[in-house]
Amino acid sequence: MINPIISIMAGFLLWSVLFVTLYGVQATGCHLAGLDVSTIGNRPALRAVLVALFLVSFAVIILFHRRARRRRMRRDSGNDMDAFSREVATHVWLGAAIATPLCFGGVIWLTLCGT
Amino acid sequence: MMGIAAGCTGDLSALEPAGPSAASIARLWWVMLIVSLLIFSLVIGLFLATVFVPGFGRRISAQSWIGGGGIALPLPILFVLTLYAFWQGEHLLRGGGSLSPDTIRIEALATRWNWQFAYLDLPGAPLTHGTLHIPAGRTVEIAVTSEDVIHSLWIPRLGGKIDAVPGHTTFLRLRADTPGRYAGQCSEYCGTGHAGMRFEVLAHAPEDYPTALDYQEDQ
Amino acid sequence: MIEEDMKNPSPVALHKAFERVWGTPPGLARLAAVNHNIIGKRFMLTALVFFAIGGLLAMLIRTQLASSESAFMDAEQYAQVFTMHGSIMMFLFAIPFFEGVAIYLLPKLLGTRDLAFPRLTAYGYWCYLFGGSMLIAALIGGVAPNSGWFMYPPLSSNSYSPGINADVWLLAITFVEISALAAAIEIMVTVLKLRAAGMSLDKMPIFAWYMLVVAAMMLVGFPPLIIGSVLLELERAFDLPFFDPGRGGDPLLWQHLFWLFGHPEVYIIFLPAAGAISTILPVFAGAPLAGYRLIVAALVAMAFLSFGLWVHHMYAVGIPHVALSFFSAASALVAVPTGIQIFAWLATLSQGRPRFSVPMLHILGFMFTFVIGGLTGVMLAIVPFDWQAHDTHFVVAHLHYVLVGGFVFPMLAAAYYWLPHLSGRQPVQHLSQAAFWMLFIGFNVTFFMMHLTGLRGMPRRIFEYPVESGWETLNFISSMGSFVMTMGFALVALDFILLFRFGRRFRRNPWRAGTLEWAMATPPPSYNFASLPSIERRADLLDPDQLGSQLASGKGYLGVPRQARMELLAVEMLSGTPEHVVRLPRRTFLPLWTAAATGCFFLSLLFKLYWLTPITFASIILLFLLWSGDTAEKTDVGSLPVGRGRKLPPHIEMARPPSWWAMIFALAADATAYVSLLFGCLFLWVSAPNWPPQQVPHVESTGPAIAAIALVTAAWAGRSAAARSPHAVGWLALTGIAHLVAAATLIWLATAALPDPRSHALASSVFVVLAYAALRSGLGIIISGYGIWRIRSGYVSQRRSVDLRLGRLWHDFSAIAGLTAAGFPFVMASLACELSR
Repeated sequence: MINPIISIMAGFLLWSVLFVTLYGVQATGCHLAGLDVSTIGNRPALRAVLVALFLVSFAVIILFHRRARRRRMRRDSGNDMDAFSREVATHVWLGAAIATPLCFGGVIWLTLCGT
Repeated sequence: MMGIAAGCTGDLSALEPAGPSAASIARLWWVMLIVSLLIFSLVIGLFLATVFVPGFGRRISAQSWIGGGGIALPLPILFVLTLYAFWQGEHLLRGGGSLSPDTIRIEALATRWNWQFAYLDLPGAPLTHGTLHIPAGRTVEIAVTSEDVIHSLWIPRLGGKIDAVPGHTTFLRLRADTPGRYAGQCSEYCGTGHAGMRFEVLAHAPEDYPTALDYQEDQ
Repeated sequence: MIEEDMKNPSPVALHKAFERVWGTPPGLARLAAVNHNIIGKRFMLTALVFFAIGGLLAMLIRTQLASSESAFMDAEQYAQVFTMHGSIMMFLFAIPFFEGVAIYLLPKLLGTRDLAFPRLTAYGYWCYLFGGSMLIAALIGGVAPNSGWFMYPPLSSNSYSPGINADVWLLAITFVEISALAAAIEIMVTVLKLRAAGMSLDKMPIFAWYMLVVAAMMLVGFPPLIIGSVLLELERAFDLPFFDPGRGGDPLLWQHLFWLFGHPEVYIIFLPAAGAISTILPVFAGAPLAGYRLIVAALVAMAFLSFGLWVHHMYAVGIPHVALSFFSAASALVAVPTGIQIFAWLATLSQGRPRFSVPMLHILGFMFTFVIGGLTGVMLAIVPFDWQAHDTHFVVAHLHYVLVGGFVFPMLAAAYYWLPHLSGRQPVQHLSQAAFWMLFIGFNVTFFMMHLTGLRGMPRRIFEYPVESGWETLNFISSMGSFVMTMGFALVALDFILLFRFGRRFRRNPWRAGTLEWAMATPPPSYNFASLPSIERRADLLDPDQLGSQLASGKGYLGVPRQARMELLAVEMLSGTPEHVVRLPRRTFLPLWTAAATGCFFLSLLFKLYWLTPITFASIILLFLLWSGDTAEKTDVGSLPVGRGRKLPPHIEMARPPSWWAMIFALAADATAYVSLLFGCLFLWVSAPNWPPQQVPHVESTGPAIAAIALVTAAWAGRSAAARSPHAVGWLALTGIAHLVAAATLIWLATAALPDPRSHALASSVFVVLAYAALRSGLGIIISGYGIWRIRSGYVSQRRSVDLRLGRLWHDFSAIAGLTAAGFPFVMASLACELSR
């Protein structure tokens, strides 16, 4: 049984890891691709990597949310503390599931490097 | 415009746009203002109602209050707003149009406390200080950097700002619709001369532009 | 003195006995006070003094800007004024004020007698006072920081800010941040471990959840600023070029580090205020708080989201659009958890029968103002709009709407709500409504205009503007409004003075609240509760009047003072089951001396008296080591009776007492600092110009290998020592020697094996990382030595092994940090060479 405090945070913890990873890969990728002066052109390889990371993580978060919701529905007996943490954790996973496409969907179509 | 016309004008007013970038942002501002007024009235109205009207909303469950007001109300609005803003941002990065090879290229160097402009597409043109010459009706790409501290190049009537960071070159693409004079200023605190670090933009008719710098003196 | 087997002592006799143990006598002994009542009030009062100073500076700004080209101040004076206004309000007022509220209130709300580490609370206060005084002294002396409250280099670097102004900011703010980190650690441990029996996490008062989340945010949010300040100070003092683009540094590194702190900072300021509203509003609504679980979920979401917003302060620096979109979406999204709280409050109001009170009036003020601020915040989250509004008075308007709306009004509501508790007197009320309306109207007149002023092009931080700009009328109106607002604040202050002088005394619980802080006499005794409660319902649905009299007659836990020691009940973190007894250390002057030594350390750096620095550092370590004497025992005590037929062990015989958790949280903050440093170095590789350097460090593997072996040995020996307590002297000696070898090797690598750190940011980055790890190993030597000393003094047994367990945590951490540091030169060198542009 995972510590309830950890399970409450888990959804957004994963979101944070995804955030750092995507931003880091974007910045490093642009740097490695070479910085031409004033380029806002296309970078297909970098975009593919970012989109893949995004889609995989999004799927994982959705799966975890559903898992949390199932656990909450299934065990509605048990002590108050368990019920509390399961409910809160489900809400947090839902929040992360909503936040992920909104925050990271831009990797699909926005300018990757340059200003 | 919108009834507060006199209060919104001014040489440096973002609400008196003179180019497609600034116009696009100004339009967005008015839409956001109206939506904000509506949301504000709704929330404060609900607050006052729950406080002063006995029994107001009692039959609505807490889940509905919170789910409705805290999630169902803001989320779609934010979703639409950010998506539009991303599209608009892509549009503005290209100067409010698509990038074309006949973009005029200019270099801006920020110093303490003046702006120096170099005209890459006007061979032989002198550097100008404090005045930026551009052709009206064409997209201009300004490559901005600084030789000392961080400054920021801003011409509110034409578009948003871009910081001048030493060691980096950043780009701003703008277009002035009509010939005229537009004001610009530094918008990043850069020391005691910051308040006075202004410059002006002279947009010339396109046919006058190639010879514009022959007659101009430095400010 | 009450004997432990005396039955049924009267509440008065109990009170006297407890006051003898917990009270602080008047006079000079007050400087040794560690009681949370005293220190909480000190924090709040000192914060209000700083608020007044910051407000005075604001009036100077408004006077200057009331007319174009005003001759009131010149550019240099104005720069010091606006920098200090922001710095004082953000660092010396907002956070310390709610720290004071939390310090005063949390133990009461949780049903305990004090915070987990009273001496640390006192130390935190003195650090705050001394650090704040440094800044004010600089202001009076005309050398206040003058590069804006966010101090962007290169403006704040040596070349453009010679003189000690910027150093004052960097060092004094870091000094104050130590105080904030200490408070954060303490709040986390107190909320997690020191609650009433039976108060499981889902039964905690909602304010405790808010403070738990806020404290966690502080632990992760402040270290990046501390690292940034250290790096900038190293650049200014020793020319290590972290932010100098000519030598591979990047001014943007500062911005990332600063705003990584700066954005969570404003939520750290807002959330306690929201927590106060969540506590107060249900009382005046006459209904319990709706949506408790949704609010907790919203808090967690908000805490994490707030760390993903920071680049919205940097939309104009030239970061690619896709990256901006991450931050823009998150900035917009944070409106959702905020909205969840607001609608939870509306739901609560709808379920009850709201009644008027002065706190409710201020909550109205909050609602109006904060919603406006939130809406302009969403506007600013939108990148294209921000490209126009950034660095204009529109942002000034927004930030004041959210800070005054989201912090000042709720704090005034909290003040009116809890001042009766603090003082034992009810408000006089004649002035309260007039004060509120002056404040409210004055504030809106001042700042509403600024939205328009900003959109009409007026940038921030200009000391004058030309007549032709057309901004003069708006600015004049703003300035008039600010005078009205000041009068409003003056009336509020007068209102509070009148409360203290002429307010009626009252019997308990004037607001008919259901929370534990009202289950005691007002003003509260030093010890809060004569006996500690046990609860079965959520801690805002209690009956304080009935509980209060029960507890005062000793019917709860720990109802009798034992051996003149201050005792608290510690509970299991999740369920609230009583777990052990915490015996608090006694009142002492040590926190004051330690803070003074810390102050001398910072002053030695400020005035560049570097010979003094190691001496003051050593004295700080020594003084901290002296703190440990008070709770030491020479024999195992075994289980102690705690009342209600239970017996529990004392905290020093537990595997994970509060101090163990404090070490975990301190290491979390330390790790955040280290990771910020490492990421900062990687950032320079990605973003800074003039890479690679001419001299790329070529490090042979022998040095790092020796360090690695030594570090692993230290960690292993430290674990063995903890496992074999108390027969661990040999193991601890091995740990100390291993740390010595590691530290020496790391220092040698940093100094002899690298090119000059001043030559390029690559060299200086690697240098700082190695020095960081070396420092941790150095402290590891001291900690091993401390363990040996404690064993030799007889304070360690198999059960009393906390010292060695704390050491084990440190040795593990310093090993990980050191191993990373040992490999870091290779990482940076290969990045610089093979993968460079």
